[in-house]
Amino acid sequence: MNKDVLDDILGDIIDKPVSSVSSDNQTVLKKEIKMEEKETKETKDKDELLPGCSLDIGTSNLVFTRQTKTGKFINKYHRNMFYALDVSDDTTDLLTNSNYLYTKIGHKYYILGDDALKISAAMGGDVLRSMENGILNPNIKESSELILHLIKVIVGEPICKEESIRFVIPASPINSDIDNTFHKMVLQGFLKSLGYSPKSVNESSCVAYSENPVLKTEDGDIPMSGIAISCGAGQTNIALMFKGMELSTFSITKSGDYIDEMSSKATGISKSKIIRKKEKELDLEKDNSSERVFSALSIYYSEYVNRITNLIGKEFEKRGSELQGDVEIVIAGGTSLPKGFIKLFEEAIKEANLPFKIYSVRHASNPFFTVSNGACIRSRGDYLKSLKK
Amino acid sequence: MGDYTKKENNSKIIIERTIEREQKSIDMTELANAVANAIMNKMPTYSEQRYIQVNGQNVIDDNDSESELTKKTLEKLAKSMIIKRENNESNFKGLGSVSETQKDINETNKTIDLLSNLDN
Repeated sequence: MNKDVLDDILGDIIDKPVSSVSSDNQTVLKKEIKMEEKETKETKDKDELLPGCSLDIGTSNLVFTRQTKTGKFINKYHRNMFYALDVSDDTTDLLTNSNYLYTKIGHKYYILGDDALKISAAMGGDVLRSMENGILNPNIKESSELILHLIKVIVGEPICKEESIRFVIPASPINSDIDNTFHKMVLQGFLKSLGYSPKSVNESSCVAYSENPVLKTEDGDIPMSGIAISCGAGQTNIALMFKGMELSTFSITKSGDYIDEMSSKATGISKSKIIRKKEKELDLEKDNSSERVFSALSIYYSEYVNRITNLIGKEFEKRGSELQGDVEIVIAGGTSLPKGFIKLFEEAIKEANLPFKIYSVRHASNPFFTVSNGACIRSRGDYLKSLKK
Repeated sequence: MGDYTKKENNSKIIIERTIEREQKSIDMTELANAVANAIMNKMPTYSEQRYIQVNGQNVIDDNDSESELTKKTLEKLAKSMIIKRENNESNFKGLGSVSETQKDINETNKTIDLLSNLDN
């Protein structure tokens, strides 16, 4: 066998036909090909992506999740923020010579994601958000276009016809007249246009689906029952669940973004720098009084936790909410990430006069991806339901 | 509509796409946003919502017929925004970081099974 024929065979051993190989070696090669095909098939089966996915379009981050056959969740995420630059020769040169991800709309360049945060820290000015308070930001003309563009790239195509997808939406806030109907319709229509079968899902319910809070009663433990809280950037979402059903859902505005904004105003330091310090270094258990950024963040975190626990208690009482048994609270979301947050929350919830007996306050195992994982689990349930029909 | 460009280096390909915007006297996005804001300002606030009893709890009544017309209007608006977007192509291949999380597969499957029996 000469080298050219060997290269042809080894170059693409699965796809190339074996007819060019001499008959003496055909049987051996066929066996090798079959073994390699089997290995490839087995590897593919192990990590096979299952139908039913989710999209969490947060104020701060966008997360798309799929589950594999081995039980892993593959989370693809991108920061949902951008930095606007006027189009000019200088900015065109800057972007041409850099690795920044950007798009051009009209007379502006919009740098996307983490690059937006980096360049704003370097050049000054603040990042812009295509979402505000958990919904499309009506103050930015291009917000819908940017977010839909991001979604299309990150979500990609469905893996089966009309694949079920659950997209996360916040509940209606109790301290604002923000309505998410339009936001929901735009996303539903857009995901349908990509070939999916979309349904919305409440943000805090996803925390329950992912973390499974347990209600302890005299008759035994009841799964998927309790209080689930998602501390997002735009809103804090709360759900009271019983056996996977939502008994009550609502949200409270002025969440993580509010903490960043107020800390920025108090210290005179840009929001993007505040965000970086908060995400990398903040420890709420320490005495932060000597460092002004951490001091400001600690103060506003305390205010945030006291405010939301107070409002949660009042709202459940107003709605006549009750659960028979000892209730568990599960908390997730980016705003809950700083060290010491759960301890701060636990102390505050004791003062909140909730109409329940709380036996545990638990942090989600992966607070950043909990909502998206929970929505994916819900979507997998939709897919299973469609097979049962 | 906009231009999408990507930086060139040894491994990336510059793709420049210019989408010609039809010159109109009215900016459609601005109009859509203005109408959406006007409608949303007219929508009932939280305190104006009707409450009904569900599972012994007070919850907002979503079947308010007065909001049906508003919803239909918003549906049309939402659709009009999406048709525009379909013509845009993305040049940001590979965008987004990837991270894996793991859960107990048996517990997850139990949850999926429970959820598959729910109505909504």
